[in-house]
Amino acid sequence: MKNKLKLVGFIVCLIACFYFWSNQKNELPALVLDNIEALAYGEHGDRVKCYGDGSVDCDGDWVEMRITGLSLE
Amino acid sequence: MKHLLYILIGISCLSACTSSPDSHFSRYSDFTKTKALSAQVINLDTILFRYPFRVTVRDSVAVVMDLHNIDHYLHAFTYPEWKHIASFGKRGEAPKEMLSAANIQFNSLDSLWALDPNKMQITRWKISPSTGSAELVEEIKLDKKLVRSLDFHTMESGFLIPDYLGEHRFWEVDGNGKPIKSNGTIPSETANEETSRPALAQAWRSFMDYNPDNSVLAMATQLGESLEIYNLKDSTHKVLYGPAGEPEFKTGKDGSGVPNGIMGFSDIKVTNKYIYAVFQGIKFKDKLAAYQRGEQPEDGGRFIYVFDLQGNPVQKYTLDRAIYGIDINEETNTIVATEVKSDDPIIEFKI
Repeated sequence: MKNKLKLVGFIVCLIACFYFWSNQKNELPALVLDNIEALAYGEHGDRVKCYGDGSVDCDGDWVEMRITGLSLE
Repeated sequence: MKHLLYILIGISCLSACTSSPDSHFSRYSDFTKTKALSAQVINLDTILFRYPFRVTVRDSVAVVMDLHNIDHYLHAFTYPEWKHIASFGKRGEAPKEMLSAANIQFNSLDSLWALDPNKMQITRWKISPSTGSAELVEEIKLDKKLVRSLDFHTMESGFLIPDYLGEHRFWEVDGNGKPIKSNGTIPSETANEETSRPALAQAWRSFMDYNPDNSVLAMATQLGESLEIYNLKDSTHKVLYGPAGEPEFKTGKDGSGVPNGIMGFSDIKVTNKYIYAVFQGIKFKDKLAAYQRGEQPEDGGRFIYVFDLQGNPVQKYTLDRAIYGIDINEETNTIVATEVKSDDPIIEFKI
């Protein structure tokens, strides 16, 4: 019974790891992350940042990108 | 052993439910016909555009809407000569001035309609080529219930306007700016009860075009690759997903939708036979990577997808320029297009 429980635990961990990994794949490359703040600063406050001239609606402006935090969240 | 099997099946089902949403809308992947098109540059000697977002041609007049112009949002030209007639829709906070511009609709010389989302109003202008002027003839305040309107189209009576809060898909609005009927829902395959509706609506921000001759309304998402075709006459509705699928987004701390994934469609037009949609397909992370390399990322679409009115893919045009807004003339086989970050911002393609 103990062995079965271990096996179930192992499988659950495996699935959890896979699920976690699949949700992480949209993250930005580390190189890009280094400079996102520099790109985003100087625009519109610290929650959703509006960057560049473009066509994406952002707090009443048309911008190229909307960025939050350190990734394209 | 039996119990272990049940547990495994249970976990597998749970995992499947969380990671594989239903896919019940039609998919397109290939176009039977493809063709490369080369741009012909239009020489403009008078106007400096900052971000020419939309272009529309009616008979012998063309109007260009500049999203970021510091003086005037709207510019009229003779067509096909492209001689400047008038610049109007002055940027400013005074009465009769515009705070922003999102789209235009050119029905006749005395009916050039313009949507100002920041002022929440639609204005009607009369263009006079003979006197080289454009006059504001009507201002329609949009009802507060609409919150913020990012696109519109005139219909037989009133306007069609996308819903901003995500509870519906679009509104029929009367000639006084009052919403009179809501239609549809956002055709997401991944949204659930926990999804913030306003964030979903922002991610599903769509460009729309309506042809009163065949009652076809088409909507294309700015993010992702989703198209909707509504026939308002027989109340039928078709949703199409392209290879990039529905818009990807995250919900920001302020509850707004923050784009992820790709920039999708830039403009859409419905003619009597076909639906034309400009497609970009550029990933936001690739745009950021371009900045990282010190490069200016491309802004615009290098593809025009053509569908029939039932949503069947017909033709894919590959362009030698990245474009934004289009005007289609099937009689002369001409597409007039705007290129937003170019010294030659107005171009034509022969199809």
